[in-house]
Amino acid sequence: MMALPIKDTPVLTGKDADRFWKRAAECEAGLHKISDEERKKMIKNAAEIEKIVKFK
Amino acid sequence: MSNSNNLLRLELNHELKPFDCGDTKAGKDLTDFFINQSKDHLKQLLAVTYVLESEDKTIAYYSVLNDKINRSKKMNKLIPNAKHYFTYPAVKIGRFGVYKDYQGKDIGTQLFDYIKVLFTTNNRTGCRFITVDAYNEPSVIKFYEKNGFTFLSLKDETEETRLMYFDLMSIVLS
Repeated sequence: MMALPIKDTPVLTGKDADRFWKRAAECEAGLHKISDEERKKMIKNAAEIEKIVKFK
Repeated sequence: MSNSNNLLRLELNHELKPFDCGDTKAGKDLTDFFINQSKDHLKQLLAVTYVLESEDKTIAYYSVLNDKINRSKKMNKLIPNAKHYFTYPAVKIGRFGVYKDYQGKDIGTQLFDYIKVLFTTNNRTGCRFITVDAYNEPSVIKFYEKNGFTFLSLKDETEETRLMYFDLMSIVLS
């Protein structure tokens, strides 16, 4: 089998564009920020991976 | 994460270690991409693949490429947005696969957390979003939703893959 091609990201129109724009604005206003606990876990996970990175 | 594992940038002369993402359609596709196409994508400057491997196996890999999210210029003026950008810079995870024996062990989430932190703290260009081309299978969609991704469009509901995105601002503002 041949792997599927990586899909292009289309120009967002209509309701898709409205939804995207609304969420982006909400994010800029801090409405979707992750919790301190999630942030702590994310930084810990990233640090674990960082230890084994073998490229610059 | 064992210290005997390595996260490498795939080079053309790198000898790929065994990889098997499972027998689902998505699994077979991801295995095929890694074994047969990841180096071609690198050679053609289309995508760079990063490989997490142990001494004898490929544990996981992901392929990244530059992307952007474009909004139509016809906009709903009722939605507030101070900057009015029509194009946002993004990075696309074109493929992301975990060896079947390591699935369900949070390795995917760990790698995504690393990518999210990397692109918010150590990126050389602006990047607002991470986009993914996710296989339209319940377990895959569930994984991305668990990691904070949402659908970019509702028009690809019946396609083999669905575009999803993560807004890096949700990390920056915390």
